[in-house]
Amino acid sequence: MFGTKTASRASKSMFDAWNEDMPILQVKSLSIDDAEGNRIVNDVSFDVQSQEAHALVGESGSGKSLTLKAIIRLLDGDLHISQGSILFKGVDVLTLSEAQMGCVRGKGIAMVFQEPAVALNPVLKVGRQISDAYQEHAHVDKREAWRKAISLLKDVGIPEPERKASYYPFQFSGGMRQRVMIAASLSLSPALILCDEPTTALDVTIQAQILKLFASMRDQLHASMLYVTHDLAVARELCTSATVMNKGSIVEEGDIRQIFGAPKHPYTQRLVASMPDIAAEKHDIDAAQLDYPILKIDNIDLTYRGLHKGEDFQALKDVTLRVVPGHVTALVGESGSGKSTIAKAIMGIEPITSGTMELDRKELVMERDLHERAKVQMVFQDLYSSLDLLYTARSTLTEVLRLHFGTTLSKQQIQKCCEELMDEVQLPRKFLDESPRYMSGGQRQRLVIARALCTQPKLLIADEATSALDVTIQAEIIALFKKLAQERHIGILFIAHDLAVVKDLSDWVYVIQHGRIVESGLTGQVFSQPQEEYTRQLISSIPGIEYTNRYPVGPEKQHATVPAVSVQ
Amino acid sequence: MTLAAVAAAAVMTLSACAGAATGTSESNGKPQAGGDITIARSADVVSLLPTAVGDNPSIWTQELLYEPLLKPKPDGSGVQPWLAKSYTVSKDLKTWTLKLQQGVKFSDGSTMTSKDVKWSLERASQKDAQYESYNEPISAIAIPDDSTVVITLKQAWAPFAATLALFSNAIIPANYGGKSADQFNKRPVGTGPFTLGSWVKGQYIKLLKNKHYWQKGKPYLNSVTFTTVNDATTRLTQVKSGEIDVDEAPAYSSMAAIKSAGGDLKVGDWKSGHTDYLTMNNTYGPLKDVHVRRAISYAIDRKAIVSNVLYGYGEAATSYMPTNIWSHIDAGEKYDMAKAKKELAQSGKYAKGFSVELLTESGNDDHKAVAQIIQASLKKLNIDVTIKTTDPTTIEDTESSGEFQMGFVYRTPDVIDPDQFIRYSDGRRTSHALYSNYMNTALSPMYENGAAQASKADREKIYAQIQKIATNDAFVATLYYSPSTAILSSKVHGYSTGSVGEYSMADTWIEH
Amino acid sequence: MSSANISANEIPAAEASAHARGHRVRGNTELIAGSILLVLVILVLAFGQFINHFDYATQNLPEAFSPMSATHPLGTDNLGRDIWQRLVYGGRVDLLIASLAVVFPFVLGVILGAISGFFGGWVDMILMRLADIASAFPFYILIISLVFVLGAGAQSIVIAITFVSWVAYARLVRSETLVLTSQEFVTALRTEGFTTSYIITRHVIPNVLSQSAIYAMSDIVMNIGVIVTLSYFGLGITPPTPDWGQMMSDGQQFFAVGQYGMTLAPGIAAVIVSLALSWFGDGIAKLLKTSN
Repeated sequence: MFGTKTASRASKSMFDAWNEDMPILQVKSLSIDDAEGNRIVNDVSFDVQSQEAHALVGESGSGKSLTLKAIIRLLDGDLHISQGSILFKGVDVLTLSEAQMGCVRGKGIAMVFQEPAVALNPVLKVGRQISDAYQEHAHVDKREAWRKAISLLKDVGIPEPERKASYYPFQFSGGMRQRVMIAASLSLSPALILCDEPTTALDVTIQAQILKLFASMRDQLHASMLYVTHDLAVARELCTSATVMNKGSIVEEGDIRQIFGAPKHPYTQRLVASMPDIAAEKHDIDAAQLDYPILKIDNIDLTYRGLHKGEDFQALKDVTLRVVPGHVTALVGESGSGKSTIAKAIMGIEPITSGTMELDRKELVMERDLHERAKVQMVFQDLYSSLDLLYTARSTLTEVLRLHFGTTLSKQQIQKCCEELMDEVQLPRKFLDESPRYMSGGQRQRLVIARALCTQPKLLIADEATSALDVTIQAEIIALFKKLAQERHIGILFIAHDLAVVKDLSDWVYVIQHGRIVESGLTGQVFSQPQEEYTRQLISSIPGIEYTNRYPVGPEKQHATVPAVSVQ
Repeated sequence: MTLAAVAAAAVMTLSACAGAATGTSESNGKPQAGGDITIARSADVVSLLPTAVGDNPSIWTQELLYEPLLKPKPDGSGVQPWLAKSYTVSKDLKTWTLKLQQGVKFSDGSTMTSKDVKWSLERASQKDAQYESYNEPISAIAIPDDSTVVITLKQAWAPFAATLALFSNAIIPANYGGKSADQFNKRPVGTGPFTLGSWVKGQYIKLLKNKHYWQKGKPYLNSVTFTTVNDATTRLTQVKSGEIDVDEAPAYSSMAAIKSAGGDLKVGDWKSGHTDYLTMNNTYGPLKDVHVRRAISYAIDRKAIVSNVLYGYGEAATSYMPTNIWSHIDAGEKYDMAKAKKELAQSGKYAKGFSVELLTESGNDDHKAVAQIIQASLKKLNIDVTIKTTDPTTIEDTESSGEFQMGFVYRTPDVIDPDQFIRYSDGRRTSHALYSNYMNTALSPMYENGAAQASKADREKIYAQIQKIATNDAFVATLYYSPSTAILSSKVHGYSTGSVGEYSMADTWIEH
Repeated sequence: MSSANISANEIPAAEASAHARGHRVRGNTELIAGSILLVLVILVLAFGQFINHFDYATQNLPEAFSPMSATHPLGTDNLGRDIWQRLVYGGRVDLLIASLAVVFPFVLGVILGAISGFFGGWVDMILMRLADIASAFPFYILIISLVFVLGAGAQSIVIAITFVSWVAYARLVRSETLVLTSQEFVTALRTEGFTTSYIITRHVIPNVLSQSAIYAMSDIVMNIGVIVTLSYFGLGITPPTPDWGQMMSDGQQFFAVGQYGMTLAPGIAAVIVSLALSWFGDGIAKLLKTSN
């Protein structure tokens, strides 16, 4: 299926000393400093064996992406390598000239980026982008290069490659674009492929397909891979060994099964423990509870009017949904499924075209007064724009409290409310006088939740509320949601695309596709016995799902609750 | 030349009264024939038709192309024969007989005859001619032969000699020599020392020596070029660098500096009759009261203005008549703060002071300085002056429409007879007594009377009376008389301007 | 989740923030230099008149053009007035008018821009077309015409400048508002039940002010230039009130006789003030950039 390796004359001479028994990549004591002399990556050493898929695992700020960029020598201008060596096939690439490095790139080492939309040139046809590099390095003519491009597109699974080669990047979906990127990286049959979280921006099912593609590259192309990811499950699926990084240093490395089964370093342990618990126990929701939902949606349609006739887009078709207080109800779908549209409909941002909605047994309309608005609040995903950075935590909370309770509560009572809310979301009270500018992602999300709780809502809608968080923080927020649902006896509608999170967090799940509810039921049941094909597809695309029942349970995993939360 | 030296020189000339120069032209050595001269002026010629203009650049340029029957005497005392070699006047001052010079040729070679004289004068008397009002007394013109002209007037008119010396009554070929007025404007024909060479509107006009000029040996110059340069500083730079030979109308401040510097440049100033007034709208509020007007007039330190703003190139005014034409008397305008306060005290409700607006030209630095000096002086009487500026092209229109309170205005004489200026206090005239709207019916018959006297002495008596009465009424406050000035290259000789602004260009020569 | 940028999610703990903020001011040479110079200028303009006992209007014709001395630190002008006093008073007049002439366009522009960006639709369209019309005219021609019509003086200058320069602020604020309204907290505010005017005044405008404030600094500098130009044409301040533009144009003719003081003093002063304001504005820009 894939072509054989062809090394050009130039690289041949440099790498003559190397053979396949030696590690293809050796990073030795690599340190990277920023412009002010702060050490960002500290004394990192690891090896990637030939024809091995090696994972570089860490959360944000661990330095994993920078390490990758250093290998291919594409670091940002104000960062520099202060010590160490990077041996590719025995040659220290840090000593090479830019011209020599140019030979190595593409042919020896290729890189697949995280955001294909950014890495691809929007004004060139994709076939051209693939063939240009090939033409340049393989010294063939244009027609030959074009043919190669088409064959590569076929290899990565793009249908109708002859036609699609003339398409521009914007004409592809996210998953297809990533395949194009992979095709480009493969064009010169590189010995080592660097991957920088290439599936993070993709839907679950697409991610599963791309991972399969990587797996086949690993098996059939005999390419070595260095795969950077924050998702341990993905690493588990694809790689045999891993290096775990935290805050610029390596904390653990070794065989991936060992890291999962018996993590040695406390950080690794926490990381493993933070993975969404797919095997978690689920609570039951009985029929009695179902009769008194806090949110009742019946057969709603929502159509966006287009500019011209025939451009109308039906986002929601005949959706029926219930959210029960005291439990977390999940709404799962991929991008474009309409899950965010439901949130907008419930919040009154978008009008429905037919059907009814009831909140707390009162009909939901577009025109609402403060009292009605208070009952349902939303927790957003984008950590950067969900709070006004000019307002301190105290002002953020106070403003909402004053709006809804200004006439009934005194100033001191409102302040007391602020403090209690902070406690409830487990934020230290001293943060009240800080701006969210100085808070971490997890802390901000807690503040957003606190703000949503100000109005004492009966229903909380969380739209991808954990998607932007690091794994460990995500675990804490998941626990927080569970706690809130139980302690406050409110309904939480949790919208997500990450099924592992959904399995961990919710008791009831709705699956939505193309604006329709495809399946619904108790989480445990839907996951173990999915009725619909689409649901099956979704579940099987969870990375590492096949290991679910075979997860060795580490010491922390024996408890039903998550370990003590440490604010970070 | 150090800063200190120049500053010292400037300060010294402040006190000296350098404006008393007479119109003598210097002549060092024998005039050289040939050569060209370039003169920079601030405005361009508007037209070369004698009937179509009223602006100085046009008038003074035309005076080089065409000549009248009589010409003003350089000292301003009267007229001298020119194209008319002699004339007699009947006792009743109604019949004027003139004998023409023989052999005078126009610049196209044709001979001037009495036919041309009759036509020119009649043309200048038509309703569309700018200065036709001066020819109003003319009843009939007879030409008994080629070289005699007899003019009959409707009434006794002593100033008629001066009228015949007016530029607008210059003699041009009858019927424009067969051309249309427009064509004549483009290719004028006259008896003057120069003819039109080329004219690029807005930039320059070049005049060439008239080969047929009836005064043999003159003019000395081959050509005279007038360039239009609005900015005084630019003109100064040009004359300093030798790019031009004469800077006409330099800033007074630079006159003093050039004079003390010497070298290639010299200064010249000639009595001109240019008179500047502070005109007051006699129909406006406080200015209706004669005590107020007198107070304002007494409060102005004219000598200080002359020394500070004109750098001594001027005289403090004592009457609304200038000093360069006979009949001027000291009518009592002067600086006396004590008298000013006394007068204002008699004005009743305005004695405590009031506010008034003073209209000046924008871009005119002299106006600005004088206005601020007057503002400071009047402040001592509790009179608050607000200085307003307006476009120079519209300032006289604004004043003539009466939409002002106080403003600056100036006049220069066109005729070599006091009749023109004396009437500036006559409210019946179009400009309503220098826009002041002053009307004293007691004066009305006196103007005609003055013009009807045969003897100069009798006329002077009447004119003296008029000045005393008008000044007592303080219809305007006359500020100063200023000379005509120029900065010229020391190679230029025989250059001067006369009492009505006419150039002595026929006598001018340049070393080359 | 994008982790392409090193500092994404790598946000310093709250404890480090105070230290970080102080550091930003210390290294900021433009801000320090500009502030010092600005303070000096304000002090001089506020108290400089007490150096000697003359005032800006008293004439002393015989003492015209006296050189710099103990009694007249910068000498006297063509009417014998003390140049230092005129410089100080004129500076006050100019800076005051220049600042006022920034305040009104600022307020007007910010409000209109915020409304335009927030509501979009036909409101946005109408306001932006108005802005296009106002900015289609050449700046100085419009200002000069307006002042000509309204009459010379401080009031007309402020009105004329307001009429013309609100556009820059409105456009700045509008684009920032457009970005801001796509932020999720704005959606949150709406769903929480806050009124539109509350959202605009309490959240939108405070967030979009910083860019406009920086621009305002350079706008003051430009306004001084406008006043100077207008006065040069006699359309600005009326005498005897001094103003740097008039002083410069009045003194121009005396260059020929070697008198430079009347023009040089206000000229140099205008340069110094412009420099101070520019530095200050740049410094603020730097400060705000690093904190974001």
